[in-house]
Amino acid sequence: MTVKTIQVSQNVLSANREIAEHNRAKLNAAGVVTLNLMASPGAGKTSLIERTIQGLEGRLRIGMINSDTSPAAMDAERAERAGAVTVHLNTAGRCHLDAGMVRDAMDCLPLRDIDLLLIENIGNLVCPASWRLGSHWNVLIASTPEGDDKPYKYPRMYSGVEALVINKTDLLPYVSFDLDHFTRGVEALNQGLRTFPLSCRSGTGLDLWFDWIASIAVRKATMAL
Amino acid sequence: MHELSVVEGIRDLALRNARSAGAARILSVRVVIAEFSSYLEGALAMFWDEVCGATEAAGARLDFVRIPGELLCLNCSKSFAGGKDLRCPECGSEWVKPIIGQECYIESIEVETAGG
Repeated sequence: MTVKTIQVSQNVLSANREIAEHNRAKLNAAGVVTLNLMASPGAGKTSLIERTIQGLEGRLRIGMINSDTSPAAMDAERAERAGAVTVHLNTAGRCHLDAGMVRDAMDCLPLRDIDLLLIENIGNLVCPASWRLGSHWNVLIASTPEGDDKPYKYPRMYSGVEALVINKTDLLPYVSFDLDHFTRGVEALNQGLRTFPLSCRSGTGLDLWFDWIASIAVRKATMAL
Repeated sequence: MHELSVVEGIRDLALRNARSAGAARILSVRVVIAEFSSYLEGALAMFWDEVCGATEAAGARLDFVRIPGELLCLNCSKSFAGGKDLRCPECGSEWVKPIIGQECYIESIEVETAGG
């Protein structure tokens, strides 16, 4: 027996990154634009997904990976009712999705028949930021009742996304949320971040969100049989 | 507990490197953990034995090398070393972000190979 030391110098998340790259290649090959939707619990991820599926009906065919830390499938059922092909992923207590879980969920979806894939991450502003999934856009959904201090308290999440939704703008008169203070925090971390203030409840601002998605995703031609 | 996923990642990377070197057993794994990596050493260690189970890493030691980080004050732009007090020493602001020290990687593994 010989003992020897092997130099590794690899990031502990590099295995995840490799799977994420594989996922991305598979999505590209199938022509599926993918959004990884992250938010704190209660920010309105499922409501936004429901609205998005309805708002893009007839324009894009949508698939959805819904995740929860328990087997409760009510969110997946909401998305399914709204018209998306849905896979429900139970993380069994884990606080974020990783690329391997998404790879397995993707295997359950008819990618060729989908133009847009929405991945609903676990409600959490900390860990999901560290695990890349292979999605094209990482999107954060903030909401006004959470308060305007969140960019200051969760810098990693706010720096690691390519689009930001500010949901529940209809509640602005009733909650203490200083939009200027919030925006200053976001700008310092992620300059020029694409931002969509909207209200899933009243519908205000949703059109711009739908138009943006329609501009990044393409409806594939249906193959003639 | 995101540390569980991280520990699984450490185990998988260590196993992969050990196997490609033809090693029979992993004796220790040396992990570099920076001050603002957001992983807790104690939590990583807690899961280690469990995730190594019946693999070639069973019984391996998990060693940590800590490296300091650096913060940037988003109020006055001063950069300063981390430590106990994370407020800006210049203006006292708590609005800071880490600019150095978010990494966590396996530096090396110590393995036992069959034969001489």
